Amino acid sequence: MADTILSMLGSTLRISLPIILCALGGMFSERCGILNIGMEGIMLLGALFGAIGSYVSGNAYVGLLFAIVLGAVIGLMHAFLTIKCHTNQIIDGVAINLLGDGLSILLLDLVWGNKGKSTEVAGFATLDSIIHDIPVISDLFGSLNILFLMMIILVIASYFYVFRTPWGLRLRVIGDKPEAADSMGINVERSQMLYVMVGAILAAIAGAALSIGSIRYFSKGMVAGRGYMALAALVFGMWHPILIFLSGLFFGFIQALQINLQVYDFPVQFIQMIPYVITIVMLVLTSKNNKGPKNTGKPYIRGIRE
Amino acid sequence: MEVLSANGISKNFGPLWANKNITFHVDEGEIVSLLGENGAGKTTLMNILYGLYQPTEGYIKIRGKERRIGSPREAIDLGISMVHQHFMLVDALTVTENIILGNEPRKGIFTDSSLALGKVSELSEKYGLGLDCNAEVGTLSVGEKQKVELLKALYNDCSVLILDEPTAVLTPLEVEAFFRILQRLRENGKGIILISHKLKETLTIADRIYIIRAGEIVAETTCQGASVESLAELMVGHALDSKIDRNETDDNETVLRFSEVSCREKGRNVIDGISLSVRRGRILGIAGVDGNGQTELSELALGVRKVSDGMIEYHGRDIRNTSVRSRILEGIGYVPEDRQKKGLVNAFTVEDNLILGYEDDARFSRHGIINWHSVDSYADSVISEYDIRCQNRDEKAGALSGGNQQKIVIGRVLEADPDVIIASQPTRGVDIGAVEYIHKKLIEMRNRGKAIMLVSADLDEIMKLSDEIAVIYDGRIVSCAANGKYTKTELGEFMTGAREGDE
Amino acid sequence: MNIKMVRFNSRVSYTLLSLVASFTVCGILLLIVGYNPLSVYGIVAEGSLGSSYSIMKSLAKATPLIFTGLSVFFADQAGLFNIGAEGQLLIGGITSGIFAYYFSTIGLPPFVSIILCLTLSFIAGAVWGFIPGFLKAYYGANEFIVSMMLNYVAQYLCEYLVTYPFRGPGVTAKTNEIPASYQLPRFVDVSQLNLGFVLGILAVVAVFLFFRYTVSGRRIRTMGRNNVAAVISGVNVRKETIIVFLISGGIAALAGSTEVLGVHGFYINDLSPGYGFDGIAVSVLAQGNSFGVLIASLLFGALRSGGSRLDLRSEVPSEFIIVLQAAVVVFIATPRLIDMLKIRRRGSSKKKEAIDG
Repeated sequence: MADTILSMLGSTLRISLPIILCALGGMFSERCGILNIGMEGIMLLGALFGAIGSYVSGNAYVGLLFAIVLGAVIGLMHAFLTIKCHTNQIIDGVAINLLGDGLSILLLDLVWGNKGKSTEVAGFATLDSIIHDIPVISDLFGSLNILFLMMIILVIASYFYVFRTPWGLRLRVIGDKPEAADSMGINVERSQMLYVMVGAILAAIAGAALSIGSIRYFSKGMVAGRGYMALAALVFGMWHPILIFLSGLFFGFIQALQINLQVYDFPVQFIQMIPYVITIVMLVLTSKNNKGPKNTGKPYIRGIRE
Repeated sequence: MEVLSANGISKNFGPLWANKNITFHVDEGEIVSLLGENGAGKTTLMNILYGLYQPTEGYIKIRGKERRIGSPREAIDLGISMVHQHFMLVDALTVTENIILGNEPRKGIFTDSSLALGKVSELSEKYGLGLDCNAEVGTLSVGEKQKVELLKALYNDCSVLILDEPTAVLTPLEVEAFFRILQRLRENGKGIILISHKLKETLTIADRIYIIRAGEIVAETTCQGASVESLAELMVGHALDSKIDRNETDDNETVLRFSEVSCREKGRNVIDGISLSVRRGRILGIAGVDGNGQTELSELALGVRKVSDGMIEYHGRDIRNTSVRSRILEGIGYVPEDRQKKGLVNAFTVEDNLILGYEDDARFSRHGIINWHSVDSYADSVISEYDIRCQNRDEKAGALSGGNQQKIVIGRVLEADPDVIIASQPTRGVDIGAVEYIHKKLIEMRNRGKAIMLVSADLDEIMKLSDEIAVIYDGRIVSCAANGKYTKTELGEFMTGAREGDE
Repeated sequence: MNIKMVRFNSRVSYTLLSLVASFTVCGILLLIVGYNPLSVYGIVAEGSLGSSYSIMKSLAKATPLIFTGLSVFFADQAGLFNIGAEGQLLIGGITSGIFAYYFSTIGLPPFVSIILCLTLSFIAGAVWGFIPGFLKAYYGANEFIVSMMLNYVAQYLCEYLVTYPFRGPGVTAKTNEIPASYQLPRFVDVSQLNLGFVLGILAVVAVFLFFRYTVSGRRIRTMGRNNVAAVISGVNVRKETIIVFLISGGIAALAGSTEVLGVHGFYINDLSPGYGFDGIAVSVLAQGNSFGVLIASLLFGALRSGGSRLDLRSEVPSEFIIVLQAAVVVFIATPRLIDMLKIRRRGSSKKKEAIDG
């Protein structure tokens, strides 16, 4: 029993990693006023590029680099379209998701000659090699890797950045009232471009955490709605890094629970539904008093109010 | 000594010239007013001074040196600060956070919060603003927010302060206090540029006045040589006919009655026990500072909000549980306070907007099916009747000027021949010509026996049009009396809650 | 010229330019990864328009897109985003699969059975659409995330139904085969094109008339363009939100229903290769015009049917078509991109700036 619980907590941590990273990326994007519902597609492509980088070099770090570059490119595209061209942010997000669906299979086929799954690629080493002698700790953290540590650091750093630094103050103002930032000489568009790219990079890393982190291959559609779940975790975490971390853990726990429940003799489909149903429930519970950045979703155009 | 001067500034947007050859200057320790009506080009000029726009022609000198102001940052660095008509404050942040934005004191990579708080509090004390610098801005009153904006300018060490319609949202008492602060700033050697369309205030505070009309400066004068009438004529370009013909009828039956109406939202009574009667052939003016329950009161009558307590009767019938749609069709006409947000659909055509809310009316549809033939001819007739300047009925409403947009809203309501008209800030942001037109229409409706409730923050407007004036403060009616019983100052006192009186 | 005609003409030319731009960009992408774009587009064109058979196949592929596109379009008119068409389609599909077989076993006349199945599917889809509509209206829950999550729930629910209680004979999980007379009639034996296509056109006409001539349609459009003004003009936004999602869900369900009744003859897992998401692209391309939905569906249907030939005749996977769709969505949704191209070509720009103050 204790073993089950420990291993479930361990898998909770492992599964929540991409959700938290992606939600953190969403936080930067939405706090600067730009919605990015293309997180799902970016994660998918991030996973693919992570796998490709790792495949061609045999080194997971190169894979991570590939994912980061991919995230930056898509982030730049989304930023350019929504900020400079005022493309509807949701529509462009949908386009990114479509792009992710199509392009991932196109490239999967191109690289591995298979439309379903890649071959095994190099992944990050787990912490198990370092801590396998320590009983409880190794059960909990043994299956994790360097990306998990990076995520923890990012969560804490984001908290201090957003609430304790001048740039964080400016970020909060831009998402809430961009004209106020503009009137104080802050370059709204440039900041937004930057944060949207940061957000997309984090989402791409979240994707890579799937393909070269826990499992060591890429498969078609492997993100399976985690990008959307991250967006829900963002709402549930009230755009606050620490709370996002906690809500991400919760979503991870639900997934872990789901996997553990599958051993029981019960139609597996109903168990697989659980995370999605819970996401809806959480969203309903938190939406009424949601205090998101006020100006998110609208482009900032100087001189035009509302 | 001269701190700032504009020299032959011109600015065009396509074929439209918003500013033409504008030249003026402001000295240290001087308050200069730029007086002009809405759309005269004042805001464009300010945006040029503040680096938001670049002039097409002309240049700006700061302390005698020609300077290019490429962005607000450069303006701030040159000592120019601006207080915008719409506050540039974030409600969720504290006073200090709002003020230090863009120029934050640092300790390493972090914000030095204690140093920031110290600096800001010190300034607040020096100029006697009396602000709690740790308070969240969202909890402050409008007058206090105005002070935060001033403090922000002072924090950035400005030598020129541009104020864009600073008194638009203040009560008479707050205006007085605000002017005292401005005088203190003047004594401290700041050059102040005051943009306004309010004549009396300008005369009270300004040292020199420039009058701007259709993008050009048409006159420069000092306060000594000017009167309200002469300034108004210069501003508009012709003499104003402000004569109002009222006729009196005996039939002043109550059409819309509020009895002890309360409305509870988020645990607070936004409307608190209001009783009012809107009567035939009468204009009931509701005076008050924005945000004291005017919008809620109007929307209770329309049915957008629900009554929590009390009774609303229309022609003696309880209407508390009827829908907005049925109230509109039964003759409650509403001109909302913010036409862009509430009154119009910008993406719709002029024609679509002219039937907005009245689609069910027998004039336009039967059994839920719209007869576009009759709508077309109706739209054409309203466009010519109300002189709505547009290419034709298929033009998008968003492309029209503010005054013409307001005519759509007003035409739509008046053409439906309502029994009661609720007009909320009907002349806000429209040019003087349209203001006169709208006032004339309202009086005409009154004389035709309509019951009118006029909600306005502009006391001059209220006092010009109303038969009876009720003052709303914090969701309550603090005074209700015949027009003329109280002076403007007294009404102002009611508006700030400084005085409570007879209902 | 009439102001409406001017607007219409500029929109048509703009749409064509966007399509050309999309094909060009994707062609360049193909070049980069080492394929010959001309031969790829050639295969797609031949596969979609090359023979009367392939044309019929394109129309057949367009059929579900008309419904899902119309579904997304309908919600979009109210300013709502129904990304749940995919799930609603599945729900509608399984409803028809189960009931059509059941009705055939109890000997209901085929004609009655078909009408009942379409109706029941519509209702089932409406119920599925009700969930995000209701949660949006009363709890402010983001309809986008909710309907996306419901896609997964619908997928698993249908998978369960077809795996256990309603599984027909055979190795793969699918419902019992519906007798031919209880299916939607086909026009010719060799093609999957069936009466569903005609139903789709009728649905487009109905939606057009609804928005053009009814008071309810007006109100829904008002709500989509200015929510606050809609409230002030007497629109009950909560009620309309729910109604819109009911109808939108119902229309999407018809896509699944016509696929099951007209194409497959049973419900099977993976009934939809993403028709629901194609519906979004269709709705974007339609740009607020009901008949635009029809035209856009025909285009994407043709791409789908032509694209499926890529797997057989080229190295390029058929999923390339999805990338092409993404490009179309971006270009259509970004008038400025086309403006930039135009400006560059003419070497001059006409700038319109708002004057405030």
